[in-house]
Amino acid sequence: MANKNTKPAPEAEKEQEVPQKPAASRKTFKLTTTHILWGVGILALLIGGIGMYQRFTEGLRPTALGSFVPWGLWVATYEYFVWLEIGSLVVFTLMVYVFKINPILHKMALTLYLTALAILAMALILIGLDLGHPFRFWHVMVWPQWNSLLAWMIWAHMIYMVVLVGKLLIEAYGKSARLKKLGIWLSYISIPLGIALVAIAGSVFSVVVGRPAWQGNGLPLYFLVSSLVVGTGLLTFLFVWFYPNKQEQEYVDTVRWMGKLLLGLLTVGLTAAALGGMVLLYPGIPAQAEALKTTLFGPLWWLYWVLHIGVGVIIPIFLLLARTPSPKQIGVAAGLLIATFIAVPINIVVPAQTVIGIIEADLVNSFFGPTLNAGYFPTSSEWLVTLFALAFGFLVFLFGFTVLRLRPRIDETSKEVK
Amino acid sequence: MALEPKDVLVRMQEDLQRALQKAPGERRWVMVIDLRKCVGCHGCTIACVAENKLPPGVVYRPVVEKEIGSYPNVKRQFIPRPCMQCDEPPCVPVCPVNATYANEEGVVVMDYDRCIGCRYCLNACPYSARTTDFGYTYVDQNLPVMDGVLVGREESDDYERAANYEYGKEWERSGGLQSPVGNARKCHFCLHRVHEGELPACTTTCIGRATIYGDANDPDSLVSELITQSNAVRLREELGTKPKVYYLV
Repeated sequence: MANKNTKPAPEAEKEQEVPQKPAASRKTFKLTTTHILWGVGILALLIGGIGMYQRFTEGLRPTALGSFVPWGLWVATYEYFVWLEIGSLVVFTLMVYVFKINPILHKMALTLYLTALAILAMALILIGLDLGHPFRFWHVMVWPQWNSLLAWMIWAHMIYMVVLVGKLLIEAYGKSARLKKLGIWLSYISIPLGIALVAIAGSVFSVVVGRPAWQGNGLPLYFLVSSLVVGTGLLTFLFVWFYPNKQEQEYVDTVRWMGKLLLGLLTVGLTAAALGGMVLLYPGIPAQAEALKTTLFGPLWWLYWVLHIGVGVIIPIFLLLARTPSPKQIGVAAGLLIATFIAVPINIVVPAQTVIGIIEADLVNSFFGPTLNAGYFPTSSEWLVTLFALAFGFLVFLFGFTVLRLRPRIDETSKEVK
Repeated sequence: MALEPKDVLVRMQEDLQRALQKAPGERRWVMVIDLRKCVGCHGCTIACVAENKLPPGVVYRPVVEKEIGSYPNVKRQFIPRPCMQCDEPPCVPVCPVNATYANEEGVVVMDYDRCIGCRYCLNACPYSARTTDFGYTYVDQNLPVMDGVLVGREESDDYERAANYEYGKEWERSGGLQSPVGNARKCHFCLHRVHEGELPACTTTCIGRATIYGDANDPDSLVSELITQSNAVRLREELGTKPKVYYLV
């Protein structure tokens, strides 16, 4: 790629060898930001490895999961990663290939695909380790039950992974027009596939008759809206911070356009959340309403009000509402949004299960055991495994960005997409 | 309807022998729990734990205790809650690998070797009748409540690690993470006993003869008589899950 042209001819290399030797021996190691990032990533991976060791030697015992709250941090984080991964790719594909607006964004394709792949790796690690038998994941491939939305979700994610890797490889190494065309077709396919995956992920919850706060037809749509919000946030974040030529007017215009899109989608998302919440609260049926009340006023109220609404919604809206927000302002807004939106899937997944301690207290108190509690807060082991997954994804990104040089292409013309 | 003077256990045993003469697909196992006779001794829970060697955190048949009213009109109600063995079980279609299914006798069973441990069925069950085996044992070092309390720790440990015989197979607990550790577990009407001509452990243990078990497809069986009574109800009928566990109230 770019460094191909800079490779010296063999003769010139030989000539340079002799005088360079003493200079090389004098060279001292220079610590760069990349070195620090690698160090941080590897250190986080090692620390998270403690959780992995516990997971593989003690199973799910070191977690706070139980029979009344079978799904916790890992499932919520998986859902969030699905939103991020799919949402960013769907918005990107729609803008670049379908509506052909802001073609400058196409220069971000490699970085976005790499990021999506890193997120996918994190998601699969977490959902795989959430299984009681992680090494039986292949059972879903061999003996799928098509009545189960979980089987559909896993299959859809696997197919999506193939499509994403295909897109990444073609974008990075595909030179022929035929391959480029295939890449565009894969992008088209990825839109309905991605939407289906997010909707199925929401349906996994909404078909569950045992958890009234999930049940109904609202969650698949809410998952889609949330995915578009955080996906736009991620795309904006990447574009603002990783696009190389920040002086270009087209860059500034595109960032502002994306800021407006983010603001609009965020408004739609807030409206959807408010409507969904009111529908849950209005009938006053404890099995439905108590879960939401736990989110709003329970012991983890700050997760919703401070982290999500305060830092993740109000501050970004304030930044985005500025008359002419700078790209950095928009980038910060997008960063705050995607860093804190994890509170949403956690609040969807956990309270709907812990509420059994309120609505069926007699059942919960009828038999005691280490996993028969209605409460849930992730243990250190769960945080460590999550840290491992995050570090792994971060290192995948770093490897792709620094070693494979899957970076925004500055040499590419926007016309190619047109 | 007047019951025969013979002990209901004898009657159920006769019903069971008759049912076992039939092809499995012609049987319809049903459980009837007479709440008026239940004294809340939790004997069924203990019998179930002993029969299936259930580890800490796994329970097939808890007895839910409810306190109703206020002094002086107070009553304590006991509701044993096994798996409802629904005709339309919400736990079955959600399983991504067909590891749980209603067998030809209508009992919802588990294939421990196929289950991936996703715990979707736990969330899907509206009766919370499923629990996950996280691999604890009662003598486990990680269970601080047992330290210094348990006498004969080593013998108990050996006993806990010996196999149980659910679904007609041996399931040892070697201390590792192999099945049934990591799996969803549930009441299976003690099919391994039933197929050997024995009633479920909870049924034989019930001191008040409050738990009745038998083949509802046999018009002469005790359960067939009881489930047609006007005071026979099922839990959460509005869901349409059609449980095969009836309560006499």
